[in-house]
Amino acid sequence: MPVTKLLIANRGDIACRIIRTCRELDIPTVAVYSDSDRGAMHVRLAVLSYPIGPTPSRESYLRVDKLIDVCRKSGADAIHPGYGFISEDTEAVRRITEAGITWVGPGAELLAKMNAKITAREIAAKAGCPVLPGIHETLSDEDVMTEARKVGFPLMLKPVAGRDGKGMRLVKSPGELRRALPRVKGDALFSFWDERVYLEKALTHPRHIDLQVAGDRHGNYVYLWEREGSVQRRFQQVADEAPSPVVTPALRKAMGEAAVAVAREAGYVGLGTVEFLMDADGKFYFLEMTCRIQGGHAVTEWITGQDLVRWQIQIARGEKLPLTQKQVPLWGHAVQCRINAEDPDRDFAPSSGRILYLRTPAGHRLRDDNGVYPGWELSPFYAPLLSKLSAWGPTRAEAVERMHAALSEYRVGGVRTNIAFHKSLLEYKPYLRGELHTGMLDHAWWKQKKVGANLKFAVAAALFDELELEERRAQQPAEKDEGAAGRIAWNSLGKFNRL
Amino acid sequence: MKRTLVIADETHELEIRRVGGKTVMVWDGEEYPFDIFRVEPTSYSVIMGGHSVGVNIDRIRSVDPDLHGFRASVFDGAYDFTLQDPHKILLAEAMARGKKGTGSLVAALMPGKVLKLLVQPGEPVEEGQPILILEAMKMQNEYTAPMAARVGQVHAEEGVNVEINSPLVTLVPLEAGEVPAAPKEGGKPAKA
Repeated sequence: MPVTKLLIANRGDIACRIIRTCRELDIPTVAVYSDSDRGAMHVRLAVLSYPIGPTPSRESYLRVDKLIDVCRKSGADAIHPGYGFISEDTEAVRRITEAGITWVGPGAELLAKMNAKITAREIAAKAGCPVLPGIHETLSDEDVMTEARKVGFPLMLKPVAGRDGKGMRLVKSPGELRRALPRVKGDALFSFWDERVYLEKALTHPRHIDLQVAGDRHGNYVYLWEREGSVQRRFQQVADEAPSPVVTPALRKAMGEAAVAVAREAGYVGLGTVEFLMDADGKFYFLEMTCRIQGGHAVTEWITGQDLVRWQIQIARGEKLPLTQKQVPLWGHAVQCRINAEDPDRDFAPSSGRILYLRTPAGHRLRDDNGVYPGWELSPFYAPLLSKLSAWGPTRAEAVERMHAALSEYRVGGVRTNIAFHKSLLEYKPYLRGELHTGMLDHAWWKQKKVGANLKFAVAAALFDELELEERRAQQPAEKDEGAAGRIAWNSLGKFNRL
Repeated sequence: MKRTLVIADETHELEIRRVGGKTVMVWDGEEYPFDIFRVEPTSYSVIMGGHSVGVNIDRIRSVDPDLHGFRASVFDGAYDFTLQDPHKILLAEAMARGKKGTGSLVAALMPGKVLKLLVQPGEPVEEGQPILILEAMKMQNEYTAPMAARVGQVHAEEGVNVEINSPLVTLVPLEAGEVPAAPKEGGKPAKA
């Protein structure tokens, strides 16, 4: 399968990250952009760029016909989907491969199997991997209620076609389940055009452990250790780290081998993640398999020294995996924070608008995967991710210290960000002790900081800014503001006309 | 130049002066000389008492032209405050307007589509009662009443897209003794 010119069917930080690897590999890149993304960073970084339609992603980034058309026009012979958008869309992959284009990722049949969560669960069970008890048949709401009582609460209600934690809901009682059913079905229908849902027994205080696996066309499989994504808010990972602070070498081997067994059972080719839930006793259960690169991949790259996008391209080309299991290194510890334009003080409402100021941290063993620049306008149509900041240290404590210092250096003006939230997380005692679980942020632990010691500095700068503005206005009264200049123009025009 | 600083529920009287090449801030009567240097269009380096702190200033547009909103970010977080010219406006008035707005007006936290309106004008609501569902970021978000109240105006319409901060529903605080009883929130009638 050739990958000589690569179209990236994505935007933002992940598109930029893929382009960077392609530059190293000397593969020309083709960016696609919607109307509001003409000036986006990925367009600026790519060798070739083509417009694919209006801002809503359904009319642009999700339009497979347009992507295939751009491949024809640009001479691209491969598509990398990044994550989100069409990355796990079976039908999209089928059409792209039928058009003779190399798909950098697992094929359509594999995706179809893994996307149907119930089939994926069966594959995992067949591979000898532990699974959670639950209800996986499509039942009427009334039968679901009866069966749910048999399995026992609490239960996790999930869309069958769901991914990325979207539309999931924890239900603790029959009453909650009855109320949640129509809502979750509504979300599922809206997001995935499939209203089927299933239930799984919910663990108390589970950890979310992702095993990074890779398989090539020659039947080789390796696992690149685990990532812990337990720090979640509404089932969305907020911070990632690798390795997990609680996984012992023996457990790592057991989980890794279980993950590879699932991949082998499925005949998996590509880079993927086998997701597990782990209880307090270190017992782990298969959750699902993610058939694409994940947002947390940078921490795995830190501890293994590998470039996972490079791996994806090599696998897509039909090459053998670059390492055998014995050759995979495990160095130190890495943490990652997802820097979003959102307001933690207003229930994390996304913040769109122009980035007026941006200073990203720099330093030793620090990485900022960003897709924005100062002056860039964030569109409310897309995920409000600014960048993914990751740091490495020889130990977890050192990685966390480095991340904390880096966050202090990170400044964004014009939009709200969750930087202060991340700093609080890194000071949060349970986090520092490595006592993570997926519900750890559910209670109201995040508090807006009280007026701190540096207020005087902040106010001094604002006062000075006011003073300068006032002085400027005093010097040039005519240019007080654009509105005033406009009014003066109108006035003189009016007078002129009356003369 | 004099300004009144309003941050959270605190107010301070400030003055800034240039004295022979030095800049001095007077904070509630106390003098703080400092050195300031604009390093980037919206970014300053401030040295005060030997401490060097970088401050990035965002001016926040406000409906009231005399109410200058700021968001200033320093290394340990950001501060939201307003600086008001004490000569120009009656501070008390502005604050009264600000207070009335919060709590009684439910506004959109993010842009989205109003899926369902669950209340009618005039209807009493309990604290925490769902009042509408807004679809935003591909999720259905339930908006609940922040207090026991009576529904005043309904600004939103089902199926219509709204911008961030768009008013959705105005809640009128209950008169004292009105059912459902909510003594905490009652007895605070809005002034016209």
